[in-house]
Amino acid sequence: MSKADDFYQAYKEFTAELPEWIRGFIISDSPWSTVVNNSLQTLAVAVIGWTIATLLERMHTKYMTDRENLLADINVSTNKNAGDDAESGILIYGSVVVAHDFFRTLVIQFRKIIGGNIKAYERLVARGRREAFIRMREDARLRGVDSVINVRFTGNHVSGRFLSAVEMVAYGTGIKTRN
Amino acid sequence: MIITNIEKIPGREITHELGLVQGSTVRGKHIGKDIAAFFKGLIGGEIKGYSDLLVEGREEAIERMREDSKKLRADAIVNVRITTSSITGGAVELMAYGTAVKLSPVEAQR
Repeated sequence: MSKADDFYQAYKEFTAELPEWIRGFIISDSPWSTVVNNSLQTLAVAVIGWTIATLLERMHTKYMTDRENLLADINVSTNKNAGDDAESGILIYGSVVVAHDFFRTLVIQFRKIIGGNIKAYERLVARGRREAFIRMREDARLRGVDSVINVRFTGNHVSGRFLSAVEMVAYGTGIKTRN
Repeated sequence: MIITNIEKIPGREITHELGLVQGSTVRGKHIGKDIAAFFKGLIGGEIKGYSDLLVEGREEAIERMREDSKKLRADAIVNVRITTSSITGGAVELMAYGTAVKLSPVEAQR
């Protein structure tokens, strides 16, 4: 027997006594190693996704603020009264489908066990609703109306085969006033 | 055809109501869009493929509601509501409904 064989024997005896979940990290033929490798890969994907998602979210928020400044002169209300000087009305709406990134999906899964406020979701729906609201007002601008009344928000869960996302809709009646 | 989601048409007078009209459509995405959505789902943000699909679907639903109201010879639809419901994974129902109304002629008001 060579020295290498001795070493291998000792190594095998040593690792045989370790708990299975630790063996998964160091021995490649353990059934756990597949699980550990897969979860490390998953985590890597999640962390990269989270980084990009955070950057994109920041950019998106900035972009939305810029557009909101341009749309500040359109009056929006949930009032049903069109006023006496209203000339015509038209249905306008804006919608968007948003999804959170894969890392937050994992976080949410854990958060659901505990319950309570799910911050990641709150931020997602707030962002989606804001975007839908901006798109509605952009539609209003495009159609040349002065104000939007009776605005309503709805949202729904939209699921694809591999992804579930949230749809946010804002709609109302655009009013042109007589000059 | 004038469509609003308030009870009246600004600047016009409603003579009588004709009843409920509705239009709905069920939309699915082809598998390519779903796969693209899966990769987009890793980084989050807007899912453009689904957004476009739902906008198209909503326009289709409104168009069908409009056709429904044409059968009643309506001039306008008031109090319109828009809903979305996710039926099963990969399919969405979009629905628009409202009340079809008859308007008095424009000349009569002036």
